[in-house]
Amino acid sequence: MVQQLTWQSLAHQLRVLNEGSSLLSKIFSNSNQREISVEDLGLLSEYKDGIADLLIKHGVLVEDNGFVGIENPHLDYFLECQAGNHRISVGVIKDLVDQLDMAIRNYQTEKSEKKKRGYLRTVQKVLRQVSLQAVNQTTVLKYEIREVYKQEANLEKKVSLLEKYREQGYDIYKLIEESQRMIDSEAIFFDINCDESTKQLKSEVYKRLISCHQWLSDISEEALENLTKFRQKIIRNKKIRTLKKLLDMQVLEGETDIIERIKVRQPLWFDKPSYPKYRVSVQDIIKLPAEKITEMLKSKGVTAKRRPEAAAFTGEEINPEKKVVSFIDEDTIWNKFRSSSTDLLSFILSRQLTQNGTWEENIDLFCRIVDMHVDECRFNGYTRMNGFIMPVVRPNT
Amino acid sequence: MKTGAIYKKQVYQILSKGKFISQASSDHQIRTYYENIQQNEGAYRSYFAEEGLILDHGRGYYQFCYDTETDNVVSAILVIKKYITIFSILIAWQDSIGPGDTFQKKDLLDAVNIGDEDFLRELTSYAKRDNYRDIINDLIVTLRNDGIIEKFIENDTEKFYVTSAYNYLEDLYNNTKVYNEEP
Repeated sequence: MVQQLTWQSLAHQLRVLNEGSSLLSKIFSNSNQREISVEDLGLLSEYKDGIADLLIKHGVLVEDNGFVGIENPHLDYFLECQAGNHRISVGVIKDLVDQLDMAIRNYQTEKSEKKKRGYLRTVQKVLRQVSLQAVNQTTVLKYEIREVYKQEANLEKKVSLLEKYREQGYDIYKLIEESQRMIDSEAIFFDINCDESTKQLKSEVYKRLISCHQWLSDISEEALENLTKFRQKIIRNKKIRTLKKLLDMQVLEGETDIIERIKVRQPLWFDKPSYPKYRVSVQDIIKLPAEKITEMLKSKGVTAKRRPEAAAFTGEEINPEKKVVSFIDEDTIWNKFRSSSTDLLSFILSRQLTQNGTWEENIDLFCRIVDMHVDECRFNGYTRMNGFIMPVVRPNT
Repeated sequence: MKTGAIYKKQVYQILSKGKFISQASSDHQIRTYYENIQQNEGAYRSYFAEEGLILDHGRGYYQFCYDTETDNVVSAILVIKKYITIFSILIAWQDSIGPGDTFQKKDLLDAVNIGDEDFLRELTSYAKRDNYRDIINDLIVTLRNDGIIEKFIENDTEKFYVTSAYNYLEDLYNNTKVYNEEP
Protein backbone atom coordinates (compact mmCIF):
# COMPACT_ATOMS: atom_id res chain seq x y z
CA MET A 1 0.00 0.00 0.00
CA VAL A 2 1.51 3.33 -1.03
CA GLN A 3 1.41 5.78 1.85
CA GLN A 4 0.61 9.36 1.38
CA LEU A 5 0.46 12.19 3.82
CA THR A 6 -3.09 13.41 3.55
CA TRP A 7 -3.41 15.61 6.57
CA GLN A 8 -5.93 18.39 6.24
CA SER A 9 -3.65 20.77 8.13
CA LEU A 10 -0.77 20.84 10.54
CA ALA A 11 -3.11 21.17 13.47
CA HIS A 12 -5.06 18.17 12.21
CA GLN A 13 -1.89 16.08 12.00
CA LEU A 14 -0.82 16.97 15.51
CA ARG A 15 -4.27 16.33 16.89
CA VAL A 16 -4.51 12.85 15.38
CA LEU A 17 -1.00 11.89 16.49
CA ASN A 18 -1.82 13.15 19.96
CA GLU A 19 -5.07 11.18 20.15
CA GLY A 20 -3.33 8.04 18.96
CA SER A 21 -0.27 8.43 21.16
CA SER A 22 -1.49 6.21 24.00
CA LEU A 23 -2.41 3.46 21.52
CA LEU A 24 0.93 3.76 19.75
CA SER A 25 2.73 3.67 23.11
CA LYS A 26 1.06 0.39 23.98
CA ILE A 27 1.82 -1.26 20.63
CA PHE A 28 5.40 -0.12 20.21
CA SER A 29 6.70 0.27 23.74
CA ASN A 30 9.18 -2.44 22.88
CA SER A 31 11.31 -0.79 20.20
CA ASN A 32 12.02 -4.15 18.54
CA GLN A 33 8.38 -4.73 17.85
CA ARG A 34 7.33 -3.22 14.57
CA GLU A 35 3.90 -4.82 14.11
CA ILE A 36 0.93 -6.27 15.97
CA SER A 37 -1.86 -8.60 14.82
CA VAL A 38 -5.22 -7.01 14.11
CA GLU A 39 -6.91 -9.22 16.78
CA ASP A 40 -4.41 -8.20 19.46
CA LEU A 41 -4.84 -4.58 18.46
CA GLY A 42 -8.56 -4.79 19.11
CA LEU A 43 -7.98 -6.27 22.59
CA LEU A 44 -5.89 -3.34 23.82
CA SER A 45 -7.67 -1.11 26.33
CA GLU A 46 -6.22 1.92 24.53
CA TYR A 47 -7.84 0.81 21.26
CA LYS A 48 -10.68 3.15 20.50
CA ASP A 49 -12.99 2.75 17.55
CA GLY A 50 -11.93 5.21 15.00
CA ILE A 51 -8.45 6.16 16.16
CA ALA A 52 -6.69 3.09 14.75
CA ASP A 53 -8.55 3.54 11.45
CA LEU A 54 -7.57 7.19 11.39
CA LEU A 55 -3.92 6.30 11.92
CA ILE A 56 -4.11 3.72 9.13
CA LYS A 57 -5.89 6.13 6.79
CA HIS A 58 -3.20 8.77 7.29
CA GLY A 59 -0.39 6.32 6.81
CA VAL A 60 0.98 6.28 10.33
CA LEU A 61 0.01 2.58 10.64
CA VAL A 62 0.05 0.13 7.73
CA GLU A 63 -2.23 -2.92 7.57
CA ASP A 64 -0.79 -5.89 5.79
CA ASN A 65 -1.84 -9.53 5.95
CA GLY A 66 -3.65 -9.41 9.24
CA PHE A 67 -0.89 -7.37 10.88
CA VAL A 68 -0.59 -3.68 11.59
CA GLY A 69 2.82 -2.04 11.52
CA ILE A 70 4.25 1.45 11.81
CA GLU A 71 6.21 2.99 8.98
CA ASN A 72 9.75 4.09 9.53
CA PRO A 73 9.64 7.89 9.71
CA HIS A 74 6.71 7.76 12.09
CA LEU A 75 8.37 5.02 14.16
CA ASP A 76 11.59 7.02 14.57
CA TYR A 77 9.67 10.16 15.46
CA PHE A 78 7.50 8.26 17.84
CA LEU A 79 10.36 6.47 19.58
CA GLU A 80 12.16 9.76 20.04
CA CYS A 81 9.11 11.27 21.73
CA GLN A 82 8.70 8.19 23.88
CA ALA A 83 12.29 8.34 25.00
CA GLY A 84 11.48 11.86 26.15
CA ASN A 85 13.98 12.96 23.59
CA HIS A 86 12.49 16.40 23.48
CA ARG A 87 15.46 18.30 22.27
CA ILE A 88 15.80 20.69 19.45
CA SER A 89 18.23 19.11 16.99
CA VAL A 90 18.57 20.99 13.77
CA GLY A 91 21.28 18.55 12.65
CA VAL A 92 18.56 15.96 11.97
CA ILE A 93 16.90 18.15 9.34
CA LYS A 94 20.25 18.92 7.75
CA ASP A 95 21.02 15.18 7.42
CA LEU A 96 17.67 14.57 5.78
CA VAL A 97 18.20 17.36 3.29
CA ASP A 98 21.58 15.78 2.37
CA GLN A 99 19.96 12.32 2.01
CA LEU A 100 17.24 13.72 -0.24
CA ASP A 101 19.80 15.42 -2.40
CA MET A 102 21.79 12.19 -2.76
CA ALA A 103 18.69 10.08 -3.58
CA ILE A 104 17.66 12.49 -6.33
CA ARG A 105 21.19 12.52 -7.81
CA ASN A 106 21.28 8.73 -7.77
CA TYR A 107 17.83 8.48 -9.36
CA GLN A 108 18.84 10.83 -12.12
CA THR A 109 22.09 8.99 -12.95
CA GLU A 110 20.78 5.42 -12.49
CA LYS A 111 19.99 3.36 -15.58
CA SER A 112 18.35 0.30 -13.97
CA GLU A 113 14.57 0.78 -13.60
CA LYS A 114 14.45 -1.41 -10.50
CA LYS A 115 17.12 0.66 -8.76
CA LYS A 116 15.45 3.86 -9.91
CA ARG A 117 12.24 2.74 -8.19
CA GLY A 118 14.28 2.07 -5.06
CA TYR A 119 15.78 5.60 -5.14
CA LEU A 120 12.31 7.02 -5.69
CA ARG A 121 11.07 5.22 -2.58
CA THR A 122 14.00 6.72 -0.67
CA VAL A 123 13.05 10.20 -1.96
CA GLN A 124 9.49 9.66 -0.73
CA LYS A 125 10.66 8.34 2.61
CA VAL A 126 13.01 11.25 3.16
CA LEU A 127 10.38 13.80 2.10
CA ARG A 128 8.05 12.39 4.74
CA GLN A 129 10.82 12.50 7.32
CA VAL A 130 11.71 16.12 6.44
CA SER A 131 8.09 17.10 6.98
CA LEU A 132 7.74 15.14 10.17
CA GLN A 133 10.96 16.44 11.64
CA ALA A 134 10.07 20.04 10.82
CA VAL A 135 6.81 19.51 12.70
CA ASN A 136 8.62 17.72 15.51
CA GLN A 137 11.29 20.39 16.01
CA THR A 138 8.72 23.18 15.92
CA THR A 139 6.54 21.29 18.40
CA VAL A 140 9.48 20.72 20.75
CA LEU A 141 10.44 24.39 20.53
CA LYS A 142 6.88 25.46 21.37
CA TYR A 143 6.79 22.95 24.24
CA GLU A 144 10.12 24.16 25.66
CA ILE A 145 9.08 27.81 25.47
CA ARG A 146 5.73 27.04 27.11
CA GLU A 147 7.55 25.26 29.94
CA VAL A 148 9.66 28.36 30.49
CA TYR A 149 6.52 30.48 30.88
CA LYS A 150 4.88 27.95 33.17
CA GLN A 151 7.67 26.48 35.28
CA GLU A 152 10.49 28.96 35.51
CA ALA A 153 9.86 31.34 38.40
CA ASN A 154 12.99 33.44 38.16
CA LEU A 155 12.68 36.32 35.69
CA GLU A 156 16.33 36.45 34.72
CA LYS A 157 16.45 32.73 33.98
CA LYS A 158 13.22 33.09 32.00
CA VAL A 159 14.86 35.78 29.87
CA SER A 160 18.06 33.82 29.23
CA LEU A 161 16.14 30.63 28.34
CA LEU A 162 13.80 32.51 26.01
CA GLU A 163 16.76 34.14 24.30
CA LYS A 164 18.33 30.71 23.81
CA TYR A 165 15.12 29.23 22.37
CA ARG A 166 14.63 32.18 20.06
CA GLU A 167 18.10 31.52 18.66
CA GLN A 168 17.20 27.88 18.15
CA GLY A 169 13.98 28.98 16.47
CA TYR A 170 16.08 30.93 13.94
CA ASP A 171 18.11 27.77 13.26
CA ILE A 172 14.93 25.81 12.60
CA TYR A 173 13.75 28.61 10.29
CA LYS A 174 16.97 28.41 8.30
CA LEU A 175 16.70 24.70 7.85
CA ILE A 176 13.05 24.80 6.83
CA GLU A 177 14.02 27.45 4.31
CA GLU A 178 16.88 25.23 3.16
CA SER A 179 14.50 22.30 2.68
CA GLN A 180 12.13 24.50 0.70
CA ARG A 181 15.01 25.82 -1.40
CA MET A 182 16.25 22.32 -2.09
CA ILE A 183 12.79 21.17 -3.18
CA ASP A 184 12.49 24.29 -5.36
CA SER A 185 15.87 23.66 -6.92
CA GLU A 186 14.76 20.14 -7.90
CA ALA A 187 11.63 21.46 -9.58
CA ILE A 188 12.40 19.64 -12.82
CA PHE A 189 12.77 16.33 -11.01
CA PHE A 190 9.53 16.75 -9.04
CA ASP A 191 7.49 18.20 -11.90
CA ILE A 192 8.63 15.97 -14.75
CA ASN A 193 10.82 13.06 -13.80
CA CYS A 194 9.09 11.49 -10.84
CA ASP A 195 5.78 9.61 -10.59
CA GLU A 196 2.38 11.01 -9.54
CA SER A 197 2.52 9.82 -5.97
CA THR A 198 5.92 11.50 -5.41
CA LYS A 199 4.64 14.72 -7.00
CA GLN A 200 1.64 14.74 -4.66
CA LEU A 201 3.84 13.95 -1.69
CA LYS A 202 6.22 16.76 -2.53
CA SER A 203 3.27 19.17 -2.72
CA GLU A 204 1.99 18.04 0.70
CA VAL A 205 5.44 18.30 2.27
CA TYR A 206 5.93 21.77 0.82
CA LYS A 207 2.64 22.94 2.31
CA ARG A 208 3.67 21.43 5.63
CA LEU A 209 6.95 23.33 5.59
CA ILE A 210 5.09 26.57 4.91
CA SER A 211 2.78 25.86 7.88
CA CYS A 212 5.78 25.17 10.13
CA HIS A 213 7.38 28.40 8.98
CA GLN A 214 4.24 30.33 9.88
CA TRP A 215 3.94 28.53 13.17
CA LEU A 216 7.55 29.34 14.04
CA SER A 217 6.87 32.94 13.16
CA ASP A 218 3.97 33.08 15.62
CA ILE A 219 6.03 31.39 18.35
CA SER A 220 8.92 33.83 17.83
CA GLU A 221 6.65 36.85 17.89
CA GLU A 222 5.04 35.73 21.14
CA ALA A 223 8.46 34.97 22.65
CA LEU A 224 9.73 38.41 21.67
CA GLU A 225 6.72 40.13 23.26
CA ASN A 226 7.24 38.19 26.45
CA LEU A 227 10.97 38.85 26.43
CA THR A 228 10.31 42.57 26.26
CA LYS A 229 7.80 42.30 29.09
CA PHE A 230 10.18 40.29 31.28
CA ARG A 231 13.07 42.66 30.66
CA GLN A 232 10.87 45.59 31.68
CA LYS A 233 9.91 43.76 34.85
CA ILE A 234 13.56 43.13 35.68
CA ILE A 235 14.26 46.87 35.34
CA ARG A 236 11.23 47.64 37.48
CA ASN A 237 12.27 45.22 40.20
CA LYS A 238 15.75 46.70 40.31
CA LYS A 239 14.21 50.16 40.73
CA ILE A 240 11.94 49.00 43.55
CA ARG A 241 14.91 47.47 45.38
CA THR A 242 16.84 50.73 45.01
CA LEU A 243 13.91 52.76 46.33
CA LYS A 244 13.48 50.35 49.23
CA LYS A 245 17.14 50.73 50.12
CA LEU A 246 16.81 54.51 50.10
CA LEU A 247 13.64 54.22 52.18
CA ASP A 248 15.41 52.04 54.76
CA MET A 249 18.24 54.60 54.89
CA GLN A 250 15.55 57.31 55.32
CA VAL A 251 16.88 59.34 52.41
CA LEU A 252 14.10 58.64 49.91
CA GLU A 253 12.83 62.23 49.73
CA GLY A 254 16.29 63.72 49.33
CA GLU A 255 17.70 61.23 46.85
CA THR A 256 14.77 61.03 44.42
CA ASP A 257 12.29 63.34 42.70
CA ILE A 258 9.27 61.33 43.81
CA ILE A 259 7.86 64.10 45.99
CA GLU A 260 8.06 66.63 43.16
CA ARG A 261 6.11 64.23 40.96
CA ILE A 262 3.37 63.87 43.54
CA LYS A 263 3.08 67.62 44.09
CA VAL A 264 2.34 68.12 40.41
CA ARG A 265 -0.25 65.38 40.07
CA GLN A 266 -1.62 63.95 43.32
CA PRO A 267 -4.26 61.24 43.06
CA LEU A 268 -7.32 61.42 45.30
CA TRP A 269 -6.67 58.10 46.93
CA PHE A 270 -3.40 59.32 48.44
CA ASP A 271 -5.47 61.62 50.57
CA LYS A 272 -7.94 59.11 52.00
CA PRO A 273 -8.19 59.37 55.78
CA SER A 274 -6.76 56.34 57.48
CA TYR A 275 -7.64 55.36 61.00
CA PRO A 276 -5.26 53.52 63.23
CA LYS A 277 -6.31 50.02 64.19
CA TYR A 278 -5.81 48.46 67.58
CA ARG A 279 -6.49 44.91 68.64
CA VAL A 280 -8.69 44.38 71.68
CA SER A 281 -9.94 40.90 72.46
CA VAL A 282 -13.66 40.13 72.44
CA GLN A 283 -13.43 38.81 76.00
CA ASP A 284 -12.07 42.15 77.18
CA ILE A 285 -14.88 44.01 75.47
CA ILE A 286 -17.46 41.79 77.20
CA LYS A 287 -15.93 41.65 80.66
CA LEU A 288 -14.17 44.94 81.17
CA PRO A 289 -15.99 48.15 81.96
CA ALA A 290 -15.91 50.87 79.32
CA GLU A 291 -13.50 53.03 81.38
CA LYS A 292 -10.92 50.23 81.43
CA ILE A 293 -11.09 49.83 77.67
CA THR A 294 -10.74 53.57 77.17
CA GLU A 295 -7.69 53.50 79.43
CA MET A 296 -6.19 50.60 77.47
CA LEU A 297 -6.67 52.42 74.18
CA LYS A 298 -5.27 55.64 75.64
CA SER A 299 -2.14 53.77 76.64
CA LYS A 300 -1.75 52.76 72.96
CA GLY A 301 -2.02 56.37 71.92
CA VAL A 302 -5.68 56.43 70.92
CA THR A 303 -7.51 59.45 72.23
CA ALA A 304 -11.19 58.94 72.67
CA LYS A 305 -13.15 61.68 71.07
CA ARG A 306 -16.71 61.94 70.04
CA ARG A 307 -17.22 62.11 66.33
CA PRO A 308 -19.17 65.17 65.39
CA GLU A 309 -22.79 64.89 64.46
CA ALA A 310 -23.56 65.33 60.80
CA ALA A 311 -24.29 68.86 59.66
CA ALA A 312 -27.92 69.71 59.12
CA PHE A 313 -29.33 69.36 55.65
CA THR A 314 -29.14 72.61 53.73
CA GLY A 315 -32.00 74.54 52.19
CA GLU A 316 -31.22 72.88 48.86
CA GLU A 317 -31.80 69.52 50.39
CA ILE A 318 -34.92 70.24 52.44
CA ASN A 319 -38.12 71.88 51.34
CA PRO A 320 -38.10 75.01 53.57
CA GLU A 321 -41.85 75.48 53.62
CA LYS A 322 -42.84 72.08 54.83
CA LYS A 323 -39.59 71.21 56.58
CA VAL A 324 -40.23 67.73 55.30
CA VAL A 325 -38.11 66.12 52.67
CA SER A 326 -39.96 65.28 49.51
CA PHE A 327 -36.99 63.57 47.97
CA ILE A 328 -33.34 63.32 49.01
CA ASP A 329 -30.76 61.51 47.01
CA GLU A 330 -29.58 58.36 48.85
CA ASP A 331 -25.99 59.33 48.19
CA THR A 332 -26.46 62.66 49.95
CA ILE A 333 -27.94 60.85 52.95
CA TRP A 334 -25.05 58.38 52.94
CA ASN A 335 -22.43 61.14 52.78
CA LYS A 336 -24.05 62.90 55.74
CA PHE A 337 -24.41 59.67 57.68
CA ARG A 338 -20.73 58.78 57.24
CA SER A 339 -19.65 61.68 59.38
CA SER A 340 -22.20 60.81 62.06
CA SER A 341 -21.62 58.72 65.16
CA THR A 342 -25.00 56.96 65.17
CA ASP A 343 -26.03 53.86 63.30
CA LEU A 344 -27.84 54.20 59.98
CA LEU A 345 -31.38 53.36 61.06
CA SER A 346 -31.24 55.73 64.06
CA PHE A 347 -29.89 58.39 61.72
CA ILE A 348 -32.84 57.95 59.36
CA LEU A 349 -35.44 57.80 62.15
CA SER A 350 -34.12 60.93 63.88
CA ARG A 351 -34.58 63.02 60.74
CA GLN A 352 -37.60 63.20 58.50
CA LEU A 353 -36.04 61.84 55.35
CA THR A 354 -39.06 60.21 53.77
CA GLN A 355 -42.32 61.51 52.35
CA ASN A 356 -44.63 60.68 55.26
CA GLY A 357 -42.09 59.51 57.83
CA THR A 358 -43.79 56.14 58.34
CA TRP A 359 -41.89 53.13 59.73
CA GLU A 360 -42.29 51.25 56.43
CA GLU A 361 -40.91 54.17 54.39
CA ASN A 362 -37.95 54.54 56.71
CA ILE A 363 -37.15 50.82 56.57
CA ASP A 364 -37.40 50.92 52.79
CA LEU A 365 -34.95 53.85 52.67
CA PHE A 366 -32.63 52.04 55.12
CA CYS A 367 -32.59 48.93 52.91
CA ARG A 368 -31.95 50.95 49.73
CA ILE A 369 -29.01 52.78 51.24
CA VAL A 370 -27.44 49.60 52.66
CA ASP A 371 -27.87 47.88 49.29
CA MET A 372 -26.11 50.74 47.48
CA HIS A 373 -23.22 50.89 49.93
CA VAL A 374 -22.98 47.32 51.11
CA ASP A 375 -19.16 47.27 50.76
CA GLU A 376 -18.88 50.36 52.92
CA CYS A 377 -21.09 49.13 55.74
CA ARG A 378 -20.14 47.37 58.94
CA PHE A 379 -22.59 45.16 60.77
CA ASN A 380 -22.51 45.75 64.54
CA GLY A 381 -25.06 43.36 65.98
CA TYR A 382 -28.76 43.93 66.63
CA THR A 383 -30.89 46.34 68.62
CA ARG A 384 -34.57 46.71 69.38
CA MET A 385 -36.35 49.57 67.65
CA ASN A 386 -40.04 50.22 67.49
CA GLY A 387 -40.69 46.72 68.78
CA PHE A 388 -38.56 45.06 66.09
CA ILE A 389 -35.08 43.54 66.28
CA MET A 390 -33.09 45.55 63.75
CA PRO A 391 -29.48 45.32 62.54
CA VAL A 392 -27.06 47.99 63.67
CA VAL A 393 -25.20 49.28 60.61
CA ARG A 394 -22.33 51.74 60.77
CA PRO A 395 -19.93 52.96 58.11
CA ASN A 396 -16.72 51.04 57.57
CA THR A 397 -13.71 52.88 58.91
CA MET B 1 -25.03 48.70 28.35
CA LYS B 2 -26.98 51.44 26.58
CA THR B 3 -25.36 52.48 23.32
CA GLY B 4 -24.12 56.05 23.53
CA ALA B 5 -24.84 56.25 27.25
CA ILE B 6 -22.48 58.04 29.56
CA TYR B 7 -22.27 56.91 33.15
CA LYS B 8 -21.19 60.15 34.78
CA LYS B 9 -22.92 59.52 38.08
CA GLN B 10 -21.75 55.93 38.44
CA VAL B 11 -18.18 56.75 37.37
CA TYR B 12 -18.08 59.76 39.69
CA GLN B 13 -19.35 57.67 42.60
CA ILE B 14 -16.50 55.20 42.12
CA LEU B 15 -13.64 57.57 41.34
CA SER B 16 -14.56 60.21 43.93
CA LYS B 17 -14.00 57.62 46.65
CA GLY B 18 -10.40 57.31 45.54
CA LYS B 19 -11.07 54.06 43.69
CA PHE B 20 -9.86 53.03 40.24
CA ILE B 21 -11.76 52.00 37.16
CA SER B 22 -9.52 49.33 35.68
CA GLN B 23 -9.37 47.61 32.35
CA ALA B 24 -8.01 44.51 34.07
CA SER B 25 -10.70 43.93 36.65
CA SER B 26 -12.61 40.86 37.80
CA ASP B 27 -15.80 42.97 37.83
CA HIS B 28 -17.59 43.03 34.49
CA GLN B 29 -19.35 46.30 35.34
CA ILE B 30 -16.04 48.05 36.03
CA ARG B 31 -14.64 46.83 32.71
CA THR B 32 -17.77 48.14 31.01
CA TYR B 33 -17.27 51.55 32.63
CA TYR B 34 -13.63 51.54 31.51
CA GLU B 35 -14.59 50.93 27.89
CA ASN B 36 -17.29 53.58 28.10
CA ILE B 37 -14.88 56.18 29.46
CA GLN B 38 -12.37 55.30 26.72
CA GLN B 39 -15.01 55.87 24.07
CA ASN B 40 -16.24 59.15 25.60
CA GLU B 41 -13.12 60.39 27.30
CA GLY B 42 -13.48 64.01 26.19
CA ALA B 43 -17.01 64.29 27.60
CA TYR B 44 -16.06 62.75 30.93
CA ARG B 45 -12.96 64.88 31.21
CA SER B 46 -14.86 68.15 30.64
CA TYR B 47 -17.58 67.18 33.08
CA PHE B 48 -15.20 66.29 35.90
CA ALA B 49 -12.98 69.31 35.24
CA GLU B 50 -15.94 71.46 36.31
CA GLU B 51 -15.75 69.67 39.68
CA GLY B 52 -12.06 70.50 39.97
CA LEU B 53 -10.92 66.96 39.24
CA ILE B 54 -8.58 65.63 36.61
CA LEU B 55 -9.47 62.33 35.01
CA ASP B 56 -6.10 60.62 34.97
CA HIS B 57 -5.72 57.92 32.31
CA GLY B 58 -2.83 55.56 32.94
CA ARG B 59 -1.90 52.11 31.66
CA GLY B 60 -5.26 50.37 31.78
CA TYR B 61 -6.87 52.50 34.51
CA TYR B 62 -8.65 55.77 35.28
CA GLN B 63 -8.46 57.64 38.56
CA PHE B 64 -9.11 61.14 39.84
CA CYS B 65 -6.29 63.53 40.60
CA TYR B 66 -6.45 67.01 42.04
CA ASP B 67 -6.24 69.70 39.43
CA THR B 68 -3.88 71.98 41.31
CA GLU B 69 -0.37 71.55 42.48
CA THR B 70 -0.10 71.09 46.17
CA ASP B 71 2.55 71.28 48.83
CA ASN B 72 0.46 69.20 51.18
CA VAL B 73 2.01 65.81 50.58
CA VAL B 74 2.18 64.41 54.08
CA SER B 75 -0.33 61.63 53.56
CA ALA B 76 0.95 61.04 50.02
CA ILE B 77 4.46 60.38 51.31
CA LEU B 78 3.10 57.82 53.75
CA VAL B 79 1.28 56.01 50.95
CA ILE B 80 4.34 56.06 48.69
CA LYS B 81 6.55 54.64 51.40
CA LYS B 82 3.99 52.04 52.37
CA TYR B 83 3.73 50.85 48.80
CA ILE B 84 7.47 50.70 48.22
CA THR B 85 7.52 48.17 51.05
CA ILE B 86 4.47 46.35 49.67
CA PHE B 87 6.03 46.13 46.21
CA SER B 88 9.23 44.81 47.75
CA ILE B 89 7.17 42.07 49.40
CA LEU B 90 5.34 41.22 46.18
CA ILE B 91 8.44 41.00 44.01
CA ALA B 92 10.27 39.01 46.68
CA TRP B 93 7.35 36.58 46.53
CA GLN B 94 6.82 36.54 42.76
CA ASP B 95 9.08 38.72 40.68
CA SER B 96 6.85 38.79 37.61
CA ILE B 97 3.59 39.74 39.31
CA GLY B 98 1.35 42.16 37.41
CA PRO B 99 -2.21 43.04 36.36
CA GLY B 100 -4.35 40.07 35.40
CA ASP B 101 -2.54 37.71 37.79
CA THR B 102 -4.59 35.88 40.39
CA PHE B 103 -3.54 34.34 43.67
CA GLN B 104 -4.89 32.96 46.93
CA LYS B 105 -3.94 33.87 50.46
CA LYS B 106 -2.49 30.40 50.86
CA ASP B 107 0.06 31.14 48.10
CA LEU B 108 1.56 33.84 50.32
CA LEU B 109 1.38 31.56 53.35
CA ASP B 110 3.14 28.81 51.40
CA ALA B 111 5.96 31.24 50.67
CA VAL B 112 6.21 31.87 54.43
CA ASN B 113 6.42 28.12 55.06
CA ILE B 114 9.16 27.73 52.46
CA GLY B 115 11.12 30.25 54.53
CA ASP B 116 12.37 32.50 51.74
CA GLU B 117 14.61 34.93 53.66
CA ASP B 118 14.10 37.93 51.41
CA PHE B 119 10.35 37.51 51.49
CA LEU B 120 10.18 37.12 55.28
CA ARG B 121 12.45 40.09 55.83
CA GLU B 122 10.27 42.31 53.66
CA LEU B 123 7.11 41.05 55.39
CA THR B 124 8.57 41.91 58.79
CA SER B 125 9.54 45.39 57.62
CA TYR B 126 5.93 46.03 56.58
CA ALA B 127 4.16 45.57 59.90
CA LYS B 128 4.85 44.54 63.45
CA ARG B 129 2.54 41.64 64.15
CA ASP B 130 2.60 38.49 66.22
CA ASN B 131 2.78 36.21 63.24
CA TYR B 132 3.18 36.28 59.48
CA ARG B 133 -0.43 35.29 58.90
CA ASP B 134 -1.58 38.57 60.49
CA ILE B 135 0.86 40.55 58.36
CA ILE B 136 -0.46 38.88 55.22
CA ASN B 137 -4.04 39.57 56.27
CA ASP B 138 -3.19 43.25 56.78
CA LEU B 139 -1.41 43.36 53.44
CA ILE B 140 -4.40 41.93 51.61
CA VAL B 141 -6.83 44.29 53.33
CA THR B 142 -4.65 47.28 52.35
CA LEU B 143 -4.33 46.17 48.74
CA ARG B 144 -8.09 45.61 48.51
CA ASN B 145 -9.02 48.90 50.14
CA ASP B 146 -6.83 50.77 47.67
CA GLY B 147 -8.19 48.86 44.68
CA ILE B 148 -4.86 47.28 43.74
CA ILE B 149 -6.41 43.81 44.07
CA GLU B 150 -10.01 42.59 43.99
CA LYS B 151 -11.53 39.61 45.71
CA PHE B 152 -13.54 37.10 43.69
CA ILE B 153 -14.87 33.62 44.26
CA GLU B 154 -14.06 30.77 41.89
CA ASN B 155 -15.23 27.22 42.58
CA ASP B 156 -16.02 28.21 46.19
CA THR B 157 -12.45 29.41 46.65
CA GLU B 158 -11.57 32.95 47.63
CA LYS B 159 -9.06 34.40 45.18
CA PHE B 160 -7.56 37.81 44.48
CA TYR B 161 -7.13 39.51 41.13
CA VAL B 162 -4.42 42.09 40.47
CA THR B 163 -6.04 45.05 38.71
CA SER B 164 -4.57 47.64 36.34
CA ALA B 165 -4.38 50.00 39.31
CA TYR B 166 -1.11 48.18 40.03
CA ASN B 167 0.34 49.94 36.97
CA TYR B 168 -0.06 53.38 38.56
CA LEU B 169 2.40 52.62 41.31
CA GLU B 170 4.66 50.58 39.06
CA ASP B 171 4.97 53.50 36.64
CA LEU B 172 5.39 56.02 39.45
CA TYR B 173 8.33 54.07 40.85
CA ASN B 174 9.77 53.17 37.46
CA ASN B 175 9.80 56.79 36.35
CA THR B 176 11.16 58.15 39.62
CA LYS B 177 14.57 59.65 39.10
CA VAL B 178 17.15 58.52 41.59
CA TYR B 179 19.94 61.08 41.90
CA ASN B 180 23.35 59.42 41.91
CA GLU B 181 21.90 56.13 40.75
CA GLU B 182 24.48 53.48 39.89
CA PRO B 183 24.24 52.45 36.21
